[in-house]
Amino acid sequence: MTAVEELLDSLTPFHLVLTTELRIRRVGSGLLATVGSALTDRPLAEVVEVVRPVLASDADLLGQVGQPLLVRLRQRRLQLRAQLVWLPGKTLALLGTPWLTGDDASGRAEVDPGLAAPHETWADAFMLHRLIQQQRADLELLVSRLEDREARLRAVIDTAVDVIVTTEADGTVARVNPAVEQLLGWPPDEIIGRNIALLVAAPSSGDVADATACPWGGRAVGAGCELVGIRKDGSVLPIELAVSQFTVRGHTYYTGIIRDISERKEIERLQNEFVSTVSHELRTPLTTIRGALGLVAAGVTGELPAAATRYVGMAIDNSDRLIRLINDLLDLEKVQHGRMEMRLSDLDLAAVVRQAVAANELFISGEQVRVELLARPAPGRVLGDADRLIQVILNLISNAVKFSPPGSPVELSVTRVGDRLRVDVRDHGPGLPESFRPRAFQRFAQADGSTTRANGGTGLGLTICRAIVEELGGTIDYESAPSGGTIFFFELPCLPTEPTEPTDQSDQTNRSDQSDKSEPIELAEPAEKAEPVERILTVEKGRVR
Amino acid sequence: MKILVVDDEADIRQISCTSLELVGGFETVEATSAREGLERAGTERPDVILMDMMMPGMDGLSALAELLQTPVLCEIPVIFMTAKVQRSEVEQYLRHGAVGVVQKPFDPMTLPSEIVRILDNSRRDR
Repeated sequence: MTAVEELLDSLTPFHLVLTTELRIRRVGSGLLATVGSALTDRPLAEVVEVVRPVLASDADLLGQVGQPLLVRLRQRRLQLRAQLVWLPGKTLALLGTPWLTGDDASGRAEVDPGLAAPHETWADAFMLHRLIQQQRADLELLVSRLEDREARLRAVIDTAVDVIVTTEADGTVARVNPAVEQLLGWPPDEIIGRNIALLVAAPSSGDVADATACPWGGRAVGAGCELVGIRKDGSVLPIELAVSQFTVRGHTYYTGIIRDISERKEIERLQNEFVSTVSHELRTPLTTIRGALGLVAAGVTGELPAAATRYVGMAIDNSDRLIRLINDLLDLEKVQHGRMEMRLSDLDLAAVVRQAVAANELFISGEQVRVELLARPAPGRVLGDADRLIQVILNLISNAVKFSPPGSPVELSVTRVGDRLRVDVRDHGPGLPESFRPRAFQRFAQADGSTTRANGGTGLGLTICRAIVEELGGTIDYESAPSGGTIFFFELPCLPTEPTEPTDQSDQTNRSDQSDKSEPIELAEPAEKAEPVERILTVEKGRVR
Repeated sequence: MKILVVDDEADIRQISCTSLELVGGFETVEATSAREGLERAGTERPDVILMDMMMPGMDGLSALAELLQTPVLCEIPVIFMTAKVQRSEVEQYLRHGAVGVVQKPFDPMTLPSEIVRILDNSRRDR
């Protein structure tokens, strides 16, 4: 007996299950007992007569679904209060309650009407039943899908190379995948129920006790961190840990993914060693070349003929360029691998720009270009690395100088744009074609298609600038100046502090060793006395004016 | 001023000494290794030691550590002249007691003034 048939019998044993052609498919137990013979497959009209309402034809009965009916069993003259309802699967049921028998002198029903459910509740009961059936089917499908998903997830977790561990809020391990045995030598059964501090420690000491302050103390949640993994035998290895937190029925849990980074650390060490070695091996012979040329050019070995002086000068220029190229390549290698060492501090950006302009004086020789810082740079502080920012600004100045016509200024300004500070470096050169934009910050890119050698650059400056600025959370770009020339600019987020007016003292803070090398220069007048254009430094033909 | 130049590269020693003598007007003595440098420091008592970092046998840092352990030599300022000038490396040299760093390649015309500047800064910081 199906669930529907059970339900029908529980509602009323006086029921008939019908096809849409109104043939009898099944007979309820009450009717079966009353009629006493099989009615299956017979047309309903042969067995039952509809007393009320009066129908024009038997087929009109289908129009009475849900309506109250009075029917009579032809064979036993039994009357039923009835209702026709749809069942799942395109079948119908005629549900009845015994009523007065027409020919019975006593006027009593032949069976106890109390056996049947109240007529009014049948439709509701069926609706409810159908809803429950649908929900059960949906639930079974959902459970099946969840089981599939869990099986797949479990397969992924169980075969993962990384250790995936779930703990209670106090660090007690609730679940851990088999990788823990491969990586740390602990069978999962032995670690479940014990504290995560057995597996993970702070890198400083490797002391298990330190672990309480580390990953499952909440500090590492949401961010990866490098820690020390502890094997069952007590040996340690470098690991990366990512922890996420979740709550189930008010209980907090943590899931951590522990990854062995021994290989990565070794590669980093080898890369560092390689960079250091290459740096040393390339610079050592260049030291001799540049040193010897410098001494010869200075006349230390005797006065040179004019032609020789010119050629030695060319050799010096190119060895200097080679030195810059090596430095840039090493810088590029570092920024591309995220190994550029940043010393972040709270900086007065205007002061940094002043330092860069002052430092620029050291490198300019024979350039008939003025470098100016426009008046009243916007006050504001940024989180940055002063030396790296000076490197960026010097690079932009150097580019601007290269493309500036003789006698024209290179202008720097610091302005505030919303919550960011912007540094502009403007030249009055020929400008850059729009077609250059996609390649502007690529390595060895030149707007005119020439080699980088043509203008003495390494072709890496802008690429390094972008990497540094982006590392500091900023952006860098360029635009055409309204009256000709190009403006290269970068923006950095302002620190949320009260801005202060720039003072002479701010020039002195952050002064690096580099700026200490500078010859005496004409420093800015105090801002309140400044003219529209505050000339920090004017360099013409390599001389400070 | 007497400067002890310690470098295993003969060419670099020669250029350094020429620069320091002819451009800077200083007296120079040479050593071809860190070990020889320590010996010559004891016999020559230079005013400053200009020392390479990467040398076979003993490197510059080890030589500096040994120098600082020697009472009569520990006051001689040591300037490293090296191509290994990543920030962390320079910080390491200074942390171990060097008074400054000259980056290779250097300009021989400015090497003497660079050394004077480093020594001046070092005295000022004491």
